[in-house]
Amino acid sequence: MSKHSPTWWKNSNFLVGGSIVCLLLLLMLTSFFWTPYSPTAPSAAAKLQAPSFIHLLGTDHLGRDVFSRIMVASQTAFLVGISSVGAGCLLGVSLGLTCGYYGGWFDLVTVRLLDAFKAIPSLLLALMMIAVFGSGMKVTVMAIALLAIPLYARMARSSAIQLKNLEYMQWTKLIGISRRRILFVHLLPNIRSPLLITASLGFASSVLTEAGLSYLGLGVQPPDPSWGKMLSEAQDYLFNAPWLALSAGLAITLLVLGFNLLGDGLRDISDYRRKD
Amino acid sequence: MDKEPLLQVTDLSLTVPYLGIAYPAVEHISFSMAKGDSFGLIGESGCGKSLTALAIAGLLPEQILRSSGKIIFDGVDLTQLTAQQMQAYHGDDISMVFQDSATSLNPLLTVGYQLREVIVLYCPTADTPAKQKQLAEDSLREVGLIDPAETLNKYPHQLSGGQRQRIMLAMAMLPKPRLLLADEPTTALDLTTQQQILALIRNLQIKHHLTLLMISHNMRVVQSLCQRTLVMYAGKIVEQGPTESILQQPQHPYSKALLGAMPTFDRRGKPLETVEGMVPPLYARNLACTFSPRCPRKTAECDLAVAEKKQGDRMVLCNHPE
Repeated sequence: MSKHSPTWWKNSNFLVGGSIVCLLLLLMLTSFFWTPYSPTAPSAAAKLQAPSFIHLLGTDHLGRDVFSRIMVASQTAFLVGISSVGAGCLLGVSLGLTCGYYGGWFDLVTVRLLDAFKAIPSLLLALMMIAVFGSGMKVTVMAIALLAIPLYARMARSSAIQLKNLEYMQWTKLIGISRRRILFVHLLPNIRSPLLITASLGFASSVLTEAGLSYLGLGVQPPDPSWGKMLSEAQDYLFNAPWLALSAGLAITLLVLGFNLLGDGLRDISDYRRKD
Repeated sequence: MDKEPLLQVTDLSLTVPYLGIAYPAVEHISFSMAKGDSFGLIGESGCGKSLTALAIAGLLPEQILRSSGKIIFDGVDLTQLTAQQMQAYHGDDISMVFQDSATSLNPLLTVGYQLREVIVLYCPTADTPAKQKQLAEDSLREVGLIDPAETLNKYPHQLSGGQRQRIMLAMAMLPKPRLLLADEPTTALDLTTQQQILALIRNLQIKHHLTLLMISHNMRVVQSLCQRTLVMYAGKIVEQGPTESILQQPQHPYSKALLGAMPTFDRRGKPLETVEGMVPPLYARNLACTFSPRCPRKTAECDLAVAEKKQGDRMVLCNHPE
């Protein structure tokens, strides 16, 4: 432990996961100002074309370029992921730190509520919220972000409980450092590694939830592009044009795989017991 | 004891409530310290020494309750104060040094940052960054660190256990406390470093007229630092008296056993004596004398009642004191 050795460049999980995520991030950013073809303009002349050098991933039943659509739809995936990680980190972590550090009845009630939340599958809860508030991009993103909060809150709470009885935390209490400083200067930085791991895994699972909802036709609505939506459209052409389903499926798989590998890699790097 | 007491603990009991039953962790302990006194609190692990210190510092974990007793500091009963009022007594009145130097500093903040936090709160005269830095360096120099300026920029993992414990002492002394609680500050250190830290604590105590409550399981630590010794066993003070007198003539069989377990020069080559058995766990402390299962002088009456005997400035909780 005495030497702070950066071993991230030796960790294959981290490297592969990081590269996949970076590649997809780059595609997403590019799609804001350039795509090979228009993702929305149909072309009667180029329906259901197989992948070629002209259309990298082929075209769909309306003749739209699949690669361009995958690129634009990645914006939705990243929006969902980032907002769920953001909500989790801001609201979930604050809630969890407060509960874990102070304990008492507030903690008891909150933890029971979070447990109850966890008892119901998150897809089901998202469905319920969409049933109440209607489908669409905004509701989907908000529902998924809200559902991510318990995950972060529980992680932050257990870390806070673990740390609060350590001597340096008792010291801060003894000399009367303000509560906000204790939580955010002393406690929060010390939970950064479980937080990073939770965030990378949470990102992947949120993307998956959104794809699932959109596949069922409940999430993002046309004309907003979404990988889940593309997957359900591709279903009708599974035998004539398998590249439609394959490319949407592959995009989802890559993003989820990338973030999961990244999370595993981060866990290995931050866990000193695994170091040689 | 003719002076006004600075710290007076009377009839303090701490319990761990679990499933409706209150398990006693500390039972009816009383002692009184005048300004400038140094007391040693000794006993095995699990005897309630650290809990007593945490209770005085107001840092008891939430699952431990104070079921009776008062902690009077400078005329004010700390147990009656709210958390906010209690805060006023922390740091500049009561300060503490912890046992494990590996966890007593925040691993992610530099030594300088952590010292500055204390300075900002307790040293209003140092109102510019330059003065604060100067004060931090001085405080490190006072605890015998040779390169204060460089140490300020270091993280705890870059320092040795002894250095970290010195920094802890510097931090604990910055608010100029009147009472210093030292919870086994030398346990995690090797023997040479132990001696250095003990010498340092003694110097600080003399220089700043500190009142010191030293917790240890090592008689020798207490011997070199404390005028008076309290021997704790299973939550009770079983013997109390001037350190020299206890060392020369321990009356309680537990004190005697502890002294016997101390390696000395004239017993070289002989196997070290041990106290057979273990401290009874919290749920098995229903005997009148909790030491009786391990006691060589045990008689039938010991399980039924045990009497406190006072003689001069000595106190012993035993039916058969020596």
